[in-house]
Amino acid sequence: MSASTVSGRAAAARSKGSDARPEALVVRDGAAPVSARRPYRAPTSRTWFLKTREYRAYALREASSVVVGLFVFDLAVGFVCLHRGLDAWQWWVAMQTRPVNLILTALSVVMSLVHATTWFQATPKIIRIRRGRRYVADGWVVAQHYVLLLAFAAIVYVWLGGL
Amino acid sequence: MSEECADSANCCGSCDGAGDRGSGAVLGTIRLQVQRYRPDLDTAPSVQEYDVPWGQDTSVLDALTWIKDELDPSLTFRWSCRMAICGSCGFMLNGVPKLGCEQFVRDYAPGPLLVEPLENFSVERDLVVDLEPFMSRLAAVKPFVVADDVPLAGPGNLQTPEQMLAFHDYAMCINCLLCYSACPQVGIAADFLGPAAVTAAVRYNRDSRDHGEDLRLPVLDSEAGLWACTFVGACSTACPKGVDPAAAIQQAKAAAAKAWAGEFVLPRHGAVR
Repeated sequence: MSASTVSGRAAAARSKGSDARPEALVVRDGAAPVSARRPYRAPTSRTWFLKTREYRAYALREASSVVVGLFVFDLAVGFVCLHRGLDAWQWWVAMQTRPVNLILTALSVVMSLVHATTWFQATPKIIRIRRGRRYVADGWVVAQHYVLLLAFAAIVYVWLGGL
Repeated sequence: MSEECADSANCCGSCDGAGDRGSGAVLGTIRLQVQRYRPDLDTAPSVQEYDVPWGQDTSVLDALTWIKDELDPSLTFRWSCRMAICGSCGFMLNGVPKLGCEQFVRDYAPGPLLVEPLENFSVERDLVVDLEPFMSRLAAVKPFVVADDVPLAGPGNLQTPEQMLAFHDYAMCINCLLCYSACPQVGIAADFLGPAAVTAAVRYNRDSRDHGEDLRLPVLDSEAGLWACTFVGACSTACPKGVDPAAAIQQAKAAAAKAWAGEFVLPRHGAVR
């Protein structure tokens, strides 16, 4: 429908005395259509990640990597100290007995477990193994990650001489 | 006969007063708190309350229709099939994205039940949201079978049941957009393709009859494409058809990373990148 047709009809409607037609439906001569559209967009809250249990679980999974990252940084500092000599190494070892480091280490153990278990739980979404017309059950995909983790841990344990 | 049933002016009259709980019996009244937004009148959305009689099989969509028919004809919402296949009647019910036709009022009794438009979309009027941003994203991933130049060997573009299995689950999407409402990244990253559009792309990429993967890859393998997804997983929880868009996106990420690495090892002349 062309604009002129619409404006013609609108003019005809006005001439019949039906001026009650909603303004939004009237197309003015030579102008863009008038619209009553005024879409409202609700703002996203800064704390959206606290809103549902699922979001909170996601936030915990993501936050766990920050703690693990801090622990890795602490470990990297230890390697640098080891490289720099005995005094630096002893300083780093002494640092590990401070309350802040002890808390970080304990927190790292917990968060590493959170991080590993949540990601292992998510792997079936990425790894889909089809056998004929059926997919391998999610539990098997998750289980193979735990088996690999235990195997890797055992190898490292043996490699380090059983501590 | 229950007290509510006896008092209701909307009694269907089908019960005999002997504890009838048939589909027509009114079992109670629930207060629906419906978000209203009339762009020609309101500066911001507000909540309007309606008391709605409900029975054993009254869906939330039925309740909204009852309000429109009996109380307030100006209440605006989308609906069509009433059987969870058209994907039109998505609402936030007590803050959770659901299909109105699929949810029974009895599960929300005694109420109140808060009905809002889908989150992460612009509200046009009352419970109606602007679908245009989604439509443009869906079109961008070419959600159809892209043919190649080779003519078919015989009549029909045939496919074995095993080949269909590769994409079958992802083909169940009804574009109801509950996943877009559930996904916080859709709200934060404004240009994000979103769960349903990516799922549609994966669905056609896996179709043995399709040859459009190279056309879709630049759209998917971009900041606003796959990589805006942070794997919250809420899209899959919200999906009323069990499609699992989160899985589709993560698998597409793996495929995109593989294609990216493949370009280093075996670059292709004429590849669309």
